[in-house]
Amino acid sequence: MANTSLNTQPIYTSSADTQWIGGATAANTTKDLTSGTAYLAFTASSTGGGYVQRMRFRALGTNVATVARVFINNGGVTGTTANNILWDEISLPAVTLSEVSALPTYELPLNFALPPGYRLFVTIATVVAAGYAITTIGGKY
Amino acid sequence: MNEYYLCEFEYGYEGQFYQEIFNNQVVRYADLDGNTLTLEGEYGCRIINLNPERPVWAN
Repeated sequence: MANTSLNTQPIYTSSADTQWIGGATAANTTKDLTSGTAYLAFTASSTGGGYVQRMRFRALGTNVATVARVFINNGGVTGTTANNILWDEISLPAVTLSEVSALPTYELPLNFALPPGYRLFVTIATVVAAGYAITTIGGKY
Repeated sequence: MNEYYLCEFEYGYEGQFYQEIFNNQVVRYADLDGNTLTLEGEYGCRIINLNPERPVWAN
């Protein structure tokens, strides 16, 4: 017998939700998010949750090569291992500031829903001078 | 010519160190005396001076 309680209709977010980090520069090699500097990239609506579409990493100037790690947190304290999971990584090659050509933008596809109060944190693995602007594009349910 | 960032650890290790950079690539980490640091395990660090006085041992 079919389960008629399943949601068979796609749902859309009710409003856009764009959040960002102004400049990530500190390094953190944690793989479980329990220590060190972590940058809060997105917090899902506490009532209906949210949908995250993508995350963009934009160098703010000259940076050495690094890697960014994205963690999902369930809304609890990050110091507890069970509250966090490493979701993905993206390499961020070295870049040199220019006033005559654009620096590259790096983008991580997300495309998943977050329950109410869930958060996305980002760490970078080497210290960088100018830092990265990290923008998350999403919506609120 | 190498560049140096003066950094400090946030966890994993204690104290300050230099991040040595050439051509925008991290060449090595060095303690304040110029000895190469081999970092193992997880650690955190941040820059405390982007343009420190050039270390006397620097090439």
